[in-house]
Amino acid sequence: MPDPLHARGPLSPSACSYDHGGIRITDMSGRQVAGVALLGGDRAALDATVRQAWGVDLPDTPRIVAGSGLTFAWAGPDQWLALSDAVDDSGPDLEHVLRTTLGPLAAVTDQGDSRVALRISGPGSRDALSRLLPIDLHPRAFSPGNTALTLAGHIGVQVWQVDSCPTYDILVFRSFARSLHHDLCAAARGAARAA
Amino acid sequence: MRITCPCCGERGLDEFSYRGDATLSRPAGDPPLPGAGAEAWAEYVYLRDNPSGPHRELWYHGAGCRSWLVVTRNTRTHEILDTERAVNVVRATRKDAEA
Amino acid sequence: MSPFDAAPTQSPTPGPTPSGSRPRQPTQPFRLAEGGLIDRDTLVRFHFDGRDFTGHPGDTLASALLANGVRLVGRSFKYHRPRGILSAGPEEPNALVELRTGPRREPNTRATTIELFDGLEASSQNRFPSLRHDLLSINGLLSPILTAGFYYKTFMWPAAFWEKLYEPIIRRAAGLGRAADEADPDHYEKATAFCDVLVVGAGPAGLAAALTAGRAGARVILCEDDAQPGGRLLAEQLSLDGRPARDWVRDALAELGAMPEVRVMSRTTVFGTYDGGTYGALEHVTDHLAATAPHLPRQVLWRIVARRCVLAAGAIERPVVFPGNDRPGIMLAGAVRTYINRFGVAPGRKAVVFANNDDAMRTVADLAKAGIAVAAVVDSRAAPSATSRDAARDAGARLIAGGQVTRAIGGRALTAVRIRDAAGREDIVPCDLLAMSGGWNPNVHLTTHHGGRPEYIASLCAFVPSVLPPGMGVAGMAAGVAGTAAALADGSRAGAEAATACGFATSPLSMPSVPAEPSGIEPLWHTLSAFGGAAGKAFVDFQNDVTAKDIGLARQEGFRAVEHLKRYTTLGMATDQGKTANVNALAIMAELTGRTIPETGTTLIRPPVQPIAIGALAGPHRGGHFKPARLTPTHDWATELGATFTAAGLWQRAQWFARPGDAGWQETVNREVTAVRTAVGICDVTTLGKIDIQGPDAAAFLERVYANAWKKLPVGRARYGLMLREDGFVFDDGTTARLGDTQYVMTTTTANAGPVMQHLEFCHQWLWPDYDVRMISVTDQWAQIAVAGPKSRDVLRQIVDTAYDLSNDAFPYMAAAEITICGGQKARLFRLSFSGELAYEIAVPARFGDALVRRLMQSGAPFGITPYGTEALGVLRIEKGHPAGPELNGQTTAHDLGMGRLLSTRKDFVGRAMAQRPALTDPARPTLVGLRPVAPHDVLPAGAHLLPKGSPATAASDQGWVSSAAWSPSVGSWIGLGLLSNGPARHGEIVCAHDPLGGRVVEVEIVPPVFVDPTGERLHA
Ligand SMILES: [Zn+2]
Repeated sequence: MPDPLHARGPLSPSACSYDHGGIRITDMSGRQVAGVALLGGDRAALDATVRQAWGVDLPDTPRIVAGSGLTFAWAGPDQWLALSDAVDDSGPDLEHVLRTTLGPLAAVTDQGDSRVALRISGPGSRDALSRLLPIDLHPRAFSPGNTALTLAGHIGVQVWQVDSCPTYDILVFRSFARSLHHDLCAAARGAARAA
Repeated sequence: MRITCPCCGERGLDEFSYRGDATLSRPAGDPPLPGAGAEAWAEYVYLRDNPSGPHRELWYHGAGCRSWLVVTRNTRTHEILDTERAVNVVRATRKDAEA
Repeated sequence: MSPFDAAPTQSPTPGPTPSGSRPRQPTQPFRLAEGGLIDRDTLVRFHFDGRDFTGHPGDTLASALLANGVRLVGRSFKYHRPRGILSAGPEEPNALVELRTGPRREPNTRATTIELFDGLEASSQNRFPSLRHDLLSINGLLSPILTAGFYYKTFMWPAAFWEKLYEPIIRRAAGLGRAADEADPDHYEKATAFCDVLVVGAGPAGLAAALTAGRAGARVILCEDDAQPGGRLLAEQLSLDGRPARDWVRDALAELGAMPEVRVMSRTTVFGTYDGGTYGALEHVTDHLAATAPHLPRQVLWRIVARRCVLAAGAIERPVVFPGNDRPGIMLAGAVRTYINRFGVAPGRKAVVFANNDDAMRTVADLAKAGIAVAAVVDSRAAPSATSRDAARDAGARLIAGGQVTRAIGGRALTAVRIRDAAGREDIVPCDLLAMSGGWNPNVHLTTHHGGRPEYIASLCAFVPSVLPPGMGVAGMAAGVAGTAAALADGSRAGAEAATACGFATSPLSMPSVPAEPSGIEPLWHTLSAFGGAAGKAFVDFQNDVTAKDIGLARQEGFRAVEHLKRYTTLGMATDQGKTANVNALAIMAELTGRTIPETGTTLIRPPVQPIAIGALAGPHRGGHFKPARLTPTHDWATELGATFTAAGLWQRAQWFARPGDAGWQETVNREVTAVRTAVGICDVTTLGKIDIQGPDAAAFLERVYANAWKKLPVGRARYGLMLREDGFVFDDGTTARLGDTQYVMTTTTANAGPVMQHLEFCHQWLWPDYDVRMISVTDQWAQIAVAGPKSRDVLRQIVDTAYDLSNDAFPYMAAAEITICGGQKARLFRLSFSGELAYEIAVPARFGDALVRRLMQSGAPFGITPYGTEALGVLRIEKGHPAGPELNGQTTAHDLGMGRLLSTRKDFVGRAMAQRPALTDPARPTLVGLRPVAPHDVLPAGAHLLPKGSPATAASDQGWVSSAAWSPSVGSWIGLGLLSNGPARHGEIVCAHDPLGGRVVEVEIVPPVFVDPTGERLHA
C-alpha cells in the first residue's frame, strides 16, 4: 500500500500567524465544510430532518446556528454551509453524512477544501476587520451569530462573528487565502496604529 | 449607490453587477413548436428603452448571496425604490398569467 | 512696547546663497509677543526656496512664512504675477507650493493647510530662475494674447503642433507645479465606516451638532479638515460664557472623546457626497510628520456610510475685485484675524481694512489689539453701521464711509492702496497689509454633488443650499446662519434632527452666552468703473489668472450662460474649483448682462471638494497588490522548481519550468511539448472553472445552457459542451461530466468561471426558475492535474488504487469516475485530453494537491514525467486544433469554429434563435483553419491579417486573421490557427499573413486545423 497523501494548508509555511497589538490572526483551514442547498422545494421536510438530526433550525436570515456536532451558516436563500465542530478533517466524512441524512431533500457538495477559514480575534479585531470589509460590524448591526457574504477589498468572503471578544471567522476561497491573509495583517496593523 | 438586497441587507454598489431591463421577457419557442419570429428576438436581445424616472432593472448580487434581483431605480436620482428577488418576481408573474 | 519679538527694519529678502552654506537663520520678526495656539517653547526648522527658517508646532507653512516676513511665496499660473497668501484655509488660490522633495514632491500644495514639521522643505512654483527674478513674468507683458479663450483662438492649427510645440511651451510657461518623477514611496489605505450621523466640520455648528447627537446615543462621526477642531472659534477673539472660546472647544472635544459612539476625525476632508448616504473622505495620517513611519499609510480614503449628515462646513470669505487685488500683502479680513489670534503672527505692520460688512470690523479691533497700526477703515456702505464707526474709533483709524479701494500699489509686495471716498475724492494710503472682505460664501459644495443648485439670498449677499441630497441637513454658516450663538443653536437643532431621524431621543444643548456679533452687509463685488480698461488686472479667479476683463470679453463674445463663461475663461477650473472666485464672477456677469444674480444662475460643483492624490484613490491596490492573486494548490511546488509564472485573470499559473542549461524559454517549451508527445507531462489545470450541478432537472438545465445535446450522457462519462450567448455568438466551452443520476460537474474556461456561474444563476433564477437544480463552485475544492502523454496510464497506475481498472476498455476516452488513490484517498479521474494524447485529469481535494503533484513526479520519474506550463499547453492545443481564448473572443459563432453541427435543432437553448441568423452561418464569415508557413521557420505572427496572395494590404482585401500561432516541435514548423473567409473550402491555398506592426509578410498554406494525429488514434489508445 502506497503512502497516503499528506494535506497542506493554503498559507505558505513561512506565513507565521499574526499576533500583535491585541489582534490575533490564525489559519483555521482543515475543518470539514459542505454546501447544502434545498432540492425539491420541500423546505418543511428539510427543516424537520435537520432538526431531528442536529437539533437546530436552518436559518433563513444571515446567521449561523450551532447544532450538535455541526454548525449551519446561512449562505444565500435556501443555501447553507455545514461546518463540522472538529477543527480538522477528523471524524466521519461530512459530505457523506449529510447526503445520507438529507437524501433528495438537498444538494450536498464538499466545500472543505474550497473554503478556508481565517480567524481574527482580540479587542482590536473589530476595528481591523472594519477597515477591510464594507459592512457595518458595530455591535448594534452585527453580533455573535451574524454572518455576511461580502467583499474584503476585491476578494469575496463569508464572515461571521464567533463571540464578543470579538472573534470573527472569515471564509474565503482557498486560492485567495494568501492574498486575504496579507490584507488582514495590513488591516490589523492599520487598526493598531489608529488605536 | 447602495442597494438593499432582500437577503443580505443594504450593500454598496461594488457587490452588484448590472444587467438591464427587467421588463423584457424571453421569446418562447421550444422545438418542434414554431418559435418566436426574428423581430421578437431582435427586440429582446438588442432593443432597449432609456427611461427617465423609475426603471425596473436586473441586478446580480454576485459578491453576496448570488441572487438575481429586480431593482426599481429612479434613473434621474439613483433612488432605489424597491428590490425583490428575481425568482419571486418571475414566479408571481407566471402565476398572474395563469390566473 | 513693541508688539514684536524683534523689530528689524527690513523683512528678509530671498536671494541666491553661496553654495554649500545656508544663510543665517533669521528670527521670526513678525511673530507677536503673545497669543496663538502655537508651542512657543519648541522651535521647528524648515526650508523654503533653499532658505532656512524657524516656526513653532501649531504653525502652518503660511503662518510660519508670515512670521518670518516672507510674503512673496509664488508666481501665478498664467501671468507669473507675484503672489502672497490670501487666506488661512484650504480655499487658498495663491500660496501654492511644491512640498517635500524627490519622490515625495507634491505640487500645488496650499501653504495655508500644510502643518509645519521639523525639516519641512517647500519651494515656490512657476518661477524661473528664482521667485524674485522670474523671467517668465514677461507673460504678464504678453497678457493681451493670454486673455480668455486664448488657447482656443491661438493654437487652433495645425493640430499636430499642439503636442510637439504649443503644449510643452505653454506647460512650462503657464504651468502649475511639477509632479514627482519617481514612484510614490508611500502607501495608502482604504476603509469603510458607518454611522448614524456624519457631521462635516467641527466649528461651532458642527461641535454643537455632534454633541447633541452624541448625547442622544447616536453613532456620530465628526470630520474636520484642520488638525485642530474648532473652526472660527480658534480664530476669533470671542468669549463663551465669559471664557475664551477655545476653552469651550476643549471641553466639547473632551466630552465627545469620552463618548464611545462618537469618533472625531481631524485632518479628514469630506470631499464628496455620493448616492445612498455615502460620503468620501480623505484622512491625512502622516502628511504632518517629518518622517513617515513605514507601517503608517500616508492617507486613508474613507467611504463613510451615514444615515444622516449634518453639513457644518462653514463659509469662505470673498475677495473684492479691483486692480492689483492679487498683490502680496492683500489678505482676506478673516484670515488676518486667524493669523493674529490662532498663530500669533502679524500679517503686516500697517493695515487698511476694506469691507462691505460688519464682520470684517472685528479685524479692525484685532489688528489694533495686536498693536498693528490701522491706517484706514474703508467701508463701502454709504451709511456705515455703528459697528464700523466704533471699530474705527477704537482703533484710532480714519473711517472712509462709502469708500472703495480702487487700486493696489506695489510690485512684489503691497506698498499702498488708492482709496476713493463717497464724494469721489481719491487718496493714496501707504500700507503693507490690506484686509478685505466682500462677505462670506457658505460652503455649499457637498450639497451640490447630487445636482442641487444653491439659492441666492440677497440679504446675505450669498448662495445658500436649497435642494439637499437625501439625508443631509445644513447648519451654521454653511446655511447662511451668521454668528457664533446662532451657529451653536443651529448646529444643535440639526444634530437633534439627524439623531431623531435615526430613532434617538434628543434634548437641546444648553447654550453658552455669546456677545453680540453684528453681521450687516451690503453688496460689493468690485470697485471697477469699467471692465476691460487699462486700469490694471483685477483678478476674479486668482489661481487660474482670470480677470474681470476676461469676463467682459466672454460677455462680448456672446458667452452669457455661466457654464459657457466658466469654460471660455477657465474660471473656477483650477484645483481650488474657484472657491474664492465663483460668486464674484457671477455677480460681475449679472451686472454686465443686466440680470440679477439668480437670473444669471450658478455652476454646479463636482467632487472632490479638495484635490486628492491619485495614490489615495488607488489605495493599497498597486504593484503586486493591484489585484489579489489566486494561487493554485501546486504553487509552492512550482516555485521550488523555478517555474516562471504568468497571470491568467487573477490566477498565477506556471508558464514554463526552465531547467538549468535550457538556452531560452523556447527550448524549455519545446522540451515540455515533446515530453507530452513522447512520454508524459503534468500540468496544473485547477484554474479551469468547476461547477457542481445537482438536482433532478440538472440534465434538462444543461440542455438549456449548452447548445449541444445532454440528455443521453450516461453516468461516468464526460462530454464537450458549447455555450452560446443569447445573441448566438459563442460564450464559453468546456467538458461536463455526469458523476451520478442527478449530479454533474461542469468545467469552464479559466477566464469565464465567474461569468458562467453568473449566467447559470441568471438562467436558473430568471429564465427557467422551475428547474429543480442547484449550483455551487468547486473550482477551489479540487486540485486538478492533467497527466498527458502516451505514458500517462502507466504513471497513473502507480497511484490509483488497484480496485480501479484503467484499461482502455474499462476507462475509455471521455470516461469519468470517482475513485481512490494512494490507499483510499478520495479522488476524481477524467479521461480528457487537450493535447490529443492519451491523457487524464486527476482531481483530489485541494489540500492534497501539493502532495499529489509531488507523488506524480516521484511515480512518473521512471517514465520521464515532465511538468509543463501554460505555454506548452498552448502549443499542444494549437497542434491539435482546439479553439481557446483567442478563438472564443466573443465575435465567433459555432459555425466559425467548425462546430455548427453541434447546435441542436431539437430543443430550445440560450442563443438558439439568434445563432440561426443567415449572417451568422454565412460561409464567407471567417472560419477556423490551420495555417502553416511555406517556409517552416518563418515566424507566424498572431494577430496578422490574412490576405489573398498578391493583393494589396488594404481593408478591402482583408479576409481574416491569425488567431493563435506557435513553433511546433512536433511538426517542426511554425503553425497557427486562424479565422479565414470561406476557410474550410480553401485548404491547400497559399495566402499572405500580413503583420503591419512587425512589418512582416509571411506566405502560409491553409490546412486543416489539426496538425497532430488527425485520426485521433493516440487519443483513444
Ligand atoms: Zn444578497
